[in-house]
Amino acid sequence: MDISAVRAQFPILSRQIYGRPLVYLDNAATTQLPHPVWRAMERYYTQTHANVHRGAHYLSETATARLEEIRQSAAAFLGAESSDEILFTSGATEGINLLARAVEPLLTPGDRILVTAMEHHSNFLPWQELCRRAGCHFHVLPLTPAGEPNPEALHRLLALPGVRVLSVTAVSNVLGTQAPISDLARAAHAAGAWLFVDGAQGLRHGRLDMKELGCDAFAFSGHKMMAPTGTGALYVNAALLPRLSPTAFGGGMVDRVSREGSTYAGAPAGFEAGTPNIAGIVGLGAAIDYLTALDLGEIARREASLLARAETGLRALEGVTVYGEPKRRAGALSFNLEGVHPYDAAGLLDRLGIAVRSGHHCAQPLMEHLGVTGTLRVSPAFYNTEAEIDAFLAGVQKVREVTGLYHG
Amino acid sequence: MADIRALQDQIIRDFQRLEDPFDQYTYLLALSARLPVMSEERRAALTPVAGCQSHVWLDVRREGELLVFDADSDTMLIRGILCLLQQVLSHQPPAEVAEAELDFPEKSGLLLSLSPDRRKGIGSVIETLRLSARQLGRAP
Repeated sequence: MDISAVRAQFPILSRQIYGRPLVYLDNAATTQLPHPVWRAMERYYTQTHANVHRGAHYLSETATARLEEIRQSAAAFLGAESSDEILFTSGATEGINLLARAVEPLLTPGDRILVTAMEHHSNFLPWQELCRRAGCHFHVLPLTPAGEPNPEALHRLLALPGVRVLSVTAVSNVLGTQAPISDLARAAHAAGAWLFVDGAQGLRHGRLDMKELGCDAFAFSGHKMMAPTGTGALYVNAALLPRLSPTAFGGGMVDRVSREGSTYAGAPAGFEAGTPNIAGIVGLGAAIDYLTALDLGEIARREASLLARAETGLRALEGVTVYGEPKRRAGALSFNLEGVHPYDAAGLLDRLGIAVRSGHHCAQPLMEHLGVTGTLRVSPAFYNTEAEIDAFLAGVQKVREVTGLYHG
Repeated sequence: MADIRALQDQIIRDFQRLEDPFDQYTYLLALSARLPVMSEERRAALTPVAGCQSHVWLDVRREGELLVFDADSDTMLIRGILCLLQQVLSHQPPAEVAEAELDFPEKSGLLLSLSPDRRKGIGSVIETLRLSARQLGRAP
């Protein structure tokens, strides 16, 4: 990968913050957009913009065709069997909420839903709320000290009667733990449950294949993969799809509407009420093309190497705690500096031009497991450089020094 | 007792002299070190300021004709800002605290890199001080 050529596609990476070169290491929160993505959106708005699935005129037909092409390329990107299995959403949060509403009629009181203690709130709250509405039991699978879903606890919980859903993040947004999705899918299916995956952090770590993974549904966000915010998709496999009920009602999702009663279209239209974020989806399509052309395997190898460099560097510093030691870590890692509030450390790093995240990362149950109120999180992407990781490590060292000088 | 305007102008000048944004934050750490840490018991007896992402404790009282307060937080940067607020507003007549136009957080560039939540938090601290000032001003 020619890293200077790659970086040239992301103008934001060469800007300065507080008079210093930006070191953007908050990619687990959102990734930056390359030229081809925003150019595709610009081209759409200047050349093709019209509402889709509506009018019989040239622009509308062109926009509709483009949208459906992107559904096909999203299906190919995820290894789905058919593009009908791809429902466009505003992101992983909407995808999981949609899924939780859509399976609700299939549950009965007393059924059980399992999540893990490393879930983002977006894959925790929709299920907790569903259990409250449907009278189901909500279980949180504990983690091992290494920061992985505990296999014995999983075995024990799956043996309980009435487990219907196991919903797991593909990659923890805090620890970077990669969950063993295909193993979990097999275990869930053997127990008669569905395996749903929060794929928000799971996209840039190698090629995904829904059939190989064996998951029943997978939600992801475009803005974690170089596409604009407000885009994403929910994959639902063809076996489960016809059993789901629509969750949002309005234009574009109907079969027939009358005063006496209405019937709805099947997937995907039946789950996409209203005008979609067409320009955003065009950006998502361009991002899929961009990442595929760049080579997903190469992207994964490069990100793994940058993350390993950060981890090795942090572990070599005194007074730094790195959280978790999962077998496979991807995308992000969390740490704290002894005696320094993560907010202070992130604030000081920011003034050095280094963008990392601090706080609970929308994963309060995980913070409780770790026994902390917050962490610092560093999350490189393929466009980051080894020099930037070193600048980050030097920044952490500098923060340790200055906070040490004035510490109470 | 210097007046609130003069104290604010001094802070703004100090921060402008520290041109490097990192040095400005290091200076906040130094200020934090000057602010006494409250004991756990004292913190527990106070209501944390609502609307702050970090924990902030304020102990506001009247001593003679003046409003006096102690402050603490779990983060050093916020403690630095609290130290500045204390320099400006503690040991001032309640009526002046209630009416003071506080522009030093903005003009010193301190608020620049705070997230909206943190800015709101600092705003809540200032509001709490103003409210206490009005109540203490009315007290006999």
